[in-house]
Amino acid sequence: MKELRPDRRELLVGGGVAVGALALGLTVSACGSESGTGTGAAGSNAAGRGGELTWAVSSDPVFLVPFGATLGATREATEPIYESLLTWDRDLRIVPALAARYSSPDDSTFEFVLREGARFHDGRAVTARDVVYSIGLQRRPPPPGTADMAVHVPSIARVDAVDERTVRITMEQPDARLPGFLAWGRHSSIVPEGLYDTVDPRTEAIGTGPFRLVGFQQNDRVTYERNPDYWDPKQPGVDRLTLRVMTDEQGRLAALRAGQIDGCSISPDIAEVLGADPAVEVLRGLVAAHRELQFTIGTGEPKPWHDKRVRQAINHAIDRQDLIDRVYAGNAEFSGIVPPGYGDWALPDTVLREELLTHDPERARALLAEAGVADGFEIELEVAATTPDLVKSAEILQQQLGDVGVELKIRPIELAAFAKNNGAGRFDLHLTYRGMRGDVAGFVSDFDPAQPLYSDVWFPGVRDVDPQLGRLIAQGATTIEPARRRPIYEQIQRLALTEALHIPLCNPYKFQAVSKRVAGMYVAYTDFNPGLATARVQAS
Amino acid sequence: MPRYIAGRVAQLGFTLLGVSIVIFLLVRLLPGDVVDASSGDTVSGSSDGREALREALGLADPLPVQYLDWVRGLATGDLGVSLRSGEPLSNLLSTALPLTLEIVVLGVIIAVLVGVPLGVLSAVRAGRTIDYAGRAIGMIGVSLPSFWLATLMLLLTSSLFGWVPPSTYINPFTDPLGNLGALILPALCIAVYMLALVMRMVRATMLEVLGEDYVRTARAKGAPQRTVVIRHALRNALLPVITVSAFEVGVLLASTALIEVVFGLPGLGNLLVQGIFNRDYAVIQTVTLLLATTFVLMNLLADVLYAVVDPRVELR
Repeated sequence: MKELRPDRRELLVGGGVAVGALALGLTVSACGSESGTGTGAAGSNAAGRGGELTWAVSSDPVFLVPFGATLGATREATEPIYESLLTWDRDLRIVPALAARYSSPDDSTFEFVLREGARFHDGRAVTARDVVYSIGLQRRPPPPGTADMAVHVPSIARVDAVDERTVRITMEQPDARLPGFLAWGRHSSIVPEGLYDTVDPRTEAIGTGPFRLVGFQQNDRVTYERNPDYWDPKQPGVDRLTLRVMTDEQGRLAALRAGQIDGCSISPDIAEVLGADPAVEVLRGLVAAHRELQFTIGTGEPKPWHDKRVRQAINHAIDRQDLIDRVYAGNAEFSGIVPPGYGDWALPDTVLREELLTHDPERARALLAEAGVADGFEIELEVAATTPDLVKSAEILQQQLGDVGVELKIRPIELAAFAKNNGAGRFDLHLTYRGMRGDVAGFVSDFDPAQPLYSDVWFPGVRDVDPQLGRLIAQGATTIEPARRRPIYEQIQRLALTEALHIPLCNPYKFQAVSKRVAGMYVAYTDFNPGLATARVQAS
Repeated sequence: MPRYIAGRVAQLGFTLLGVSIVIFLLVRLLPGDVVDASSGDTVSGSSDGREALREALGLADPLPVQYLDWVRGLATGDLGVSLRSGEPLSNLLSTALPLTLEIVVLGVIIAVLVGVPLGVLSAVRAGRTIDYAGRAIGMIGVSLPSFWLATLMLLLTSSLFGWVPPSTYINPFTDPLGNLGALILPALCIAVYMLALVMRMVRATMLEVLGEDYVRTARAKGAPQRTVVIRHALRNALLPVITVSAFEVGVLLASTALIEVVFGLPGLGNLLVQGIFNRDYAVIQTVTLLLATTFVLMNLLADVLYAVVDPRVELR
């Protein structure tokens, strides 16, 4: 039996970290939070434990359901309440959460032993039956969550409660994605058995996280208090936490300056303004949110970009450094299919800059000529008008592609319309951003011919894609050993960038501003705010 | 007059019926629905789950069925539930509506209390410094976008005084001062436009009225200037102001949306904006119908007030 995860005690003494990280292929990422205009993590003051922290969020969570495809704003509000069997630490290593340890008797079976003494917010002990119930809901989310996130759920065949504290998960086939799916937490919360029958999960919540829900006022605030039974005695750092919904950035900025809130995410422009404010600390860090262009290849009339060479030409016509400098004032990194900072799965920056994503207009023109469109062509680019950096990027791309004869017709549309078109494949070219994924396989699943999205929606008319890409994607998901997996994903990324069905652009840094009375907050690579559990405040 | 009011109320029913149909159809012309708008950033493509959710929410029913369900609910006092959160609309409105109404009422009070005296002074002292100042205020007031003013106010108060109004609703009966502190800046922002409008209108009508024969007669009879201006001139000059003010209340109600977003207040406007982003048809329809009803009612009130203030006007 392979013991994949030592218990936390072992992890903390050091040796286990390497074992755990290697087992899952995620080694320390230096990009989770790093220095920027301020520091990566707030914490130069001597804040004590207790007190209250108020954080502003930019969107209404709407509800607090733990399962199914929901907006990021919902996850932002449920993250303090719900947790999973595993989690990511600040350096993106998979570490135990509700499971003290887990093992893998064979490549298709995982056994998790629950942490002794772990309790739900209503005082009930967490049992294996709760895990069985929760995984059932993770796979078939009840409304209002939808199963649109099913592509990220590993191929679980059955889940059994071996005893009160042991759960066995049997996979349909060897599947390396399970630990990452559980650590991600976004779709893998553990809730008490029968939760959906006993409370209204839209407005009530019973989890095991560091905070328990006190109140939820839609479009206004979510309030939490410390979970006194939390298994990690060091968390949370504050007694009360409030998430305030403040959709206007200037409003958030004014509230921060007036001391009404202790922190919020901010745009790079505001970060620059706040950099000189002695009462505020600006945090900067990478999050998994790379920007990219997405094509569709339909079955109707052939379009120039149905030819691989045209897509490659567009890739080489883009000057990413220019884009980074003009849109993000330098606060972004080149990104491949797997975003920078995602453990050591992403292709090295030098490979991207000097080999795969080079700015080479001459080569672009030559490729267009080879494809028989030397005189250029017109293509409509849709972009969500509510994302300012993407709108700016679209304008710069219009100039850059115009230099090689490709005329971009920019069509800014509203977010819901954009989402509808994207889901239905009703577009020629989309400029969008991607988010975090539980496993590296999640970043390449768009190119998997076995997925209906690929074969029915986005690329039903594709003819010239190397079949090796699909084979490697299938192989990557079922290869457990990270040392064998890594070269597979390197190959997949190289192939995917060559096929250029999606053209990644860059991954901007995220900025957050916190009051100087806050310590221990950081920009998490996984997005959202796990730092709220570790943050502490000075008495005002 | 009672007969006139009864007739107008009956007309109002038809108007609102027409409005409800237009609103119902317009929101469905928007691309995407609540299920599309709910999909998270981890979503790729569509799924059967979306269709199941559409059916569960009643979005798969034929449009006439959806419309009749909505109207039947309204007629029986059931406002329905938010398609996104499942929260009853009566709950959402019970917190959002008082906040917005209070901002509007405060805004109207500020606009009238400042706009009328300023207009009178400007007319009485026409061509002098105070007139120029008043006209400048009027010009600036009608030109300034309220959301810009709101942002400016927030930045100024936070930078200069380290204070911004709390972005939450404080019950006026439990904490009147706190309530006033929270809503005074938003109310000022929406008041500026109406204030300028009232001031300009009062000035114009006062100038006209002050040249009338009966005002000259009052002066000739030795009535003091204060009496001439307030009792004789202002009373008549206020007639069009009443009409415009009542009309403007509806406009103010609609314009609170941006102000509430900037100040982060969970009012009716903010609810509507979020409803639009979320494609929450139930929220959009009901809130818009509520705004339309207020608008129509305020028009009716303006007509009635006109007859009350000016006995020469007879409503038939």
